[in-house]
Amino acid sequence: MVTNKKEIEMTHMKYSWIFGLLGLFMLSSCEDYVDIEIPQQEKRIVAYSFISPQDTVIQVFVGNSLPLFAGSQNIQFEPELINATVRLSDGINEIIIPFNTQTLNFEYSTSDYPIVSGTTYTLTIEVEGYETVTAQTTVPMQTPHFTSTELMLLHEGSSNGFEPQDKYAIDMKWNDIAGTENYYSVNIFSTYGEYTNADARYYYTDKDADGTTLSRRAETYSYYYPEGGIEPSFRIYLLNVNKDYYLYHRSIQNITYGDPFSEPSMVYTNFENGLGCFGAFNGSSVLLD
Amino acid sequence: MNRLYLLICTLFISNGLWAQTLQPQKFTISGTIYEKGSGETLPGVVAVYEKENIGTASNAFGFYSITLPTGEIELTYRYVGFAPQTLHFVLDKNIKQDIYLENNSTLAEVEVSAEKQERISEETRMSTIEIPVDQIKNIPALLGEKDVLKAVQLLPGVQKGSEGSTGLYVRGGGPDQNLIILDDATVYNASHLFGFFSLFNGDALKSVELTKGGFPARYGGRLSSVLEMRMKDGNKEKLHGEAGIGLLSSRLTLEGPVVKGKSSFLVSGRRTYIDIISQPFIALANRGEGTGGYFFYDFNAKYNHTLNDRNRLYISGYFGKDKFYFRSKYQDDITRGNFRWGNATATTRWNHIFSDKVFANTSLIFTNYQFGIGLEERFGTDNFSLNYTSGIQDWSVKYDLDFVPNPNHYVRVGALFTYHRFKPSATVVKGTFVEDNKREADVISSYENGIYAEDDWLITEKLKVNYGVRLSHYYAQGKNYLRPEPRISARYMLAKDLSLKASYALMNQYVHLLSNTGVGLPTDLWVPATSQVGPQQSQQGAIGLAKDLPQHNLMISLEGYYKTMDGVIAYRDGASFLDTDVSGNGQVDNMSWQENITTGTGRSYGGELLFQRKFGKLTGWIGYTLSWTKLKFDELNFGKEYFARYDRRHDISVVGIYKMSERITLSATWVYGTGQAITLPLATYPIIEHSPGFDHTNTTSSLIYNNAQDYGEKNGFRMKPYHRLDVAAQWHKELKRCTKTFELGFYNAYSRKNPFFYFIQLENDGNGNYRNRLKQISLFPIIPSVTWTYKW
Repeated sequence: MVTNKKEIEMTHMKYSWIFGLLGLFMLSSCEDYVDIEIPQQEKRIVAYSFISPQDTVIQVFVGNSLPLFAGSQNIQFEPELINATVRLSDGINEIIIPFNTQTLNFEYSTSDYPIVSGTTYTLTIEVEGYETVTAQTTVPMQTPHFTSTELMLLHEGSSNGFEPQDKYAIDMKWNDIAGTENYYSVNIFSTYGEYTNADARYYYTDKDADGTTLSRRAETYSYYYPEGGIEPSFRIYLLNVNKDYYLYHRSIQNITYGDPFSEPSMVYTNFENGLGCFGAFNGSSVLLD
Repeated sequence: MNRLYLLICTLFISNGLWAQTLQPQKFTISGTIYEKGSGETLPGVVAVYEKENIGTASNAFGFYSITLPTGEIELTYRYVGFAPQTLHFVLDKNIKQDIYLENNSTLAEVEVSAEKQERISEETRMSTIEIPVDQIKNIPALLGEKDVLKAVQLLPGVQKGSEGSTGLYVRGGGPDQNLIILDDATVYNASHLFGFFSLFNGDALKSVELTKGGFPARYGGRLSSVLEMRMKDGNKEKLHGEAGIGLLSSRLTLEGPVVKGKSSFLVSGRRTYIDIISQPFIALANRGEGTGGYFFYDFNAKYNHTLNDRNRLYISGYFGKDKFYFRSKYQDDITRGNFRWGNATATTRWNHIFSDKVFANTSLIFTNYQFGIGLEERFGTDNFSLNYTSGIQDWSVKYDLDFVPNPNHYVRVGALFTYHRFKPSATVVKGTFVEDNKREADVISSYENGIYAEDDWLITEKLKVNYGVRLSHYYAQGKNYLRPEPRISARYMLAKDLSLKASYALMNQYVHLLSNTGVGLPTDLWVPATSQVGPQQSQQGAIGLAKDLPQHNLMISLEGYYKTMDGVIAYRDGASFLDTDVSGNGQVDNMSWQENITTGTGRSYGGELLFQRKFGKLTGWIGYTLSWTKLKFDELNFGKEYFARYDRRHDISVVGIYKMSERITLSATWVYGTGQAITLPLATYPIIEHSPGFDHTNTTSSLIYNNAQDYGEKNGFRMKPYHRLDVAAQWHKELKRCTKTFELGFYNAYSRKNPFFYFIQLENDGNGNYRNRLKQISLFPIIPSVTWTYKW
């Protein structure tokens, strides 16, 4: 698979070449500036927050967009965002989330204001000099659980051109929540001693399979530490994610970099007057070793 | 019982006798209409019995038939650009009468009364425009190349794609929704040089007709238009030729008799020499390190033979090829590449006249289209090569029957059976660092069939209706589609020379064109409807008024239309045709292009106004179109409706050809179009991917993933409008044995910098700051051209 990817990258480069040469070949071609007014050239707030009843700390990342044509392209992150007012509300109670100067995020501990399943939350961010942004998301009602998980060592020390690796497969089964449109995210982390890696991430829907038992297999390679065969343990998360979470994460998967023939990828946002994603999930996890 | 039986018989017989004596006898006049001198059959000639205003028209092969009551009859035959003829008949039996009409341009100073020209108001068919091939030859064109598709793009309701391309976007439909037929054979990729020129050599064509709506039942297979081109048969009397030498290419056409009066041939060829001319320029631009070139050639041939007065045989073919190649060398790194594509078509047709009222044509058709991309790189001792080909082959049998029982009905029935062989892709990769890899997508076979029945019914003198149905069938990969397509169009004469027309048509399309960039690079793939990706369907309603002003030789048509399309396909966000071979887990998957596309709906509506003059000193047309085209895909633009790239609010074309004298012809074209809708990145911003860790060992802030572009709405940005003026002048000189024409033309006479595509460039503004600027590449400033043509 890596081989194919490499070929494709090389052909991508080659086609950029062709493209360039084509331009050269157009004997009478002419380059000129376009003086049309381009819309939406003010900086906008970009925010991300993914909440769940299970998290002990809720974080909100706040940043800004950089309009491509409005000014200098040198600076990306604006310092005034530290003074943003970040409000989280469930319609009855509200909390203002403070900025944590150590983690550089807006965050709070959920003991002050827990996240409740089935509730719709509104996130509002105000910064001077920017338009106020707001988004809403509903936390999924049910927590999904794996009905069975099985870890198998498929192949010892298989080589893919880099350090020799073991290949593992994890078979997972869980029951889909019947009657509603569901989206799932499966995240696999492997831990070797004190090192934890994010190995793989998958997104699933229950389309055409509502209410049935979903079964999936994930394959992952583990790093073979030269210190001598440390056995990894795997932690797998099964998240019941809402539509906002799913649409956003799927849309960022579509982005390709470097292919002049690819279509532009639009990234999902549910913020009004801004960009980013406010999503929610309800999850559980299992440890395998 | 016996008595009852006898009574009934008597009633029948007496009824029969009564009917016989009361109704006058009718006889049929039929035959074939030819051009005097060349023997070319003439389609669409009107034969009319003026006293009672009963008439008919000759069909595509020149056959006509009219059934009239016995007596003394005068029939007048009329055709644009030809002198009318009136013949006297004593109609007491069926008469076979072939007609030879004389071309007006060979007559000296004939003042043809405009009364006798064909009337657009009398035609049932609406949304149809016929461009006389002579007009196409007189329209100024890019580099002097007379181009059929370029001329068609100048008509209202038809947009072009980007600068220079020959793609047709008819009433909101994409370039794959046009049925382009050359002598009954479907042509898949109708362009040379990345779309700058069409395949069709005007010297070899007899007629060009574009239908945008109200499609009669005999057409099917594409949603938006039918562009039917018929090749000339070949002069049956004398050997004639035409040679043209231009800046870009040269062409030669030869036609003549094989057996005088019975059979004739026509051959026509064209080749470009851009590669030879541009070699030194490219080498210079690349500092001797690179070279490249492009060439195309095409060849048309036709042979026709009259077996007897009831049978004729035609064999026609087309063959063409394009190749773009480049080679570059940088130190030890040598790169070589090419794009190549080609079309071939062959048709055998047999006309059979069964009787005075029944005419049939049988065609055997073959079409082949192929394109390939090759790439080879050598660095030192290492090498890498990639070869990609894709193609489609069609084998068809077509049968059409014309039955003219009386002047009030013109019945057509027929069938078309096509076997498609698609080879979406085949890739061969070799190299030092890669495993030798040959991935060949399986051939996908499909069958596309249709049978139809239609009738042109003159209900009253004022009301004429063309109604019919086409039953289309498609089979691929075990799945059958059977879809009826009702068609109806009608005209109602509100007054003499003014009619109201309306039409409705349902069309199905079983092949799709996967188009990636809008640049017109031949990375377009033809793919069939499969069990996973269904066919496209459209419904179109149109209403209009048509007026003839015979005293000014003018036709005016005003039409409004509304069209919906279903099953339209597009690439998903981020998809690329280069991915078409590799599916998500790296497995060889010949159908994985299906994973890369998504389906949705579209709708288009608008109005078209056309003023056209086909005959006289000043000819040409003025067309204006106001239209909207929107698409809606669940997976694109987050399910919101958005404008199609080729949505063009205003489209204006003015074409004028002025015959100043016998020796000089002047022509000019002016076009205007609203800019295309593109997706422009407006801002860049960070994106993060969430990673769970309920006890927060993985914080989101450590996962700033990358940057993404904010595009706003899909296709939410308009490029600058496009407008351009072309002018040309022709000098004709009659020499002893031939006619010599010299043409001087200017394309883009006021050198407007029309955008070809936009790109963004990061520039240093001098203070150490980097700013993005939106820039455009425009292709053609003012370009002069000279062409010499010899005709004998």
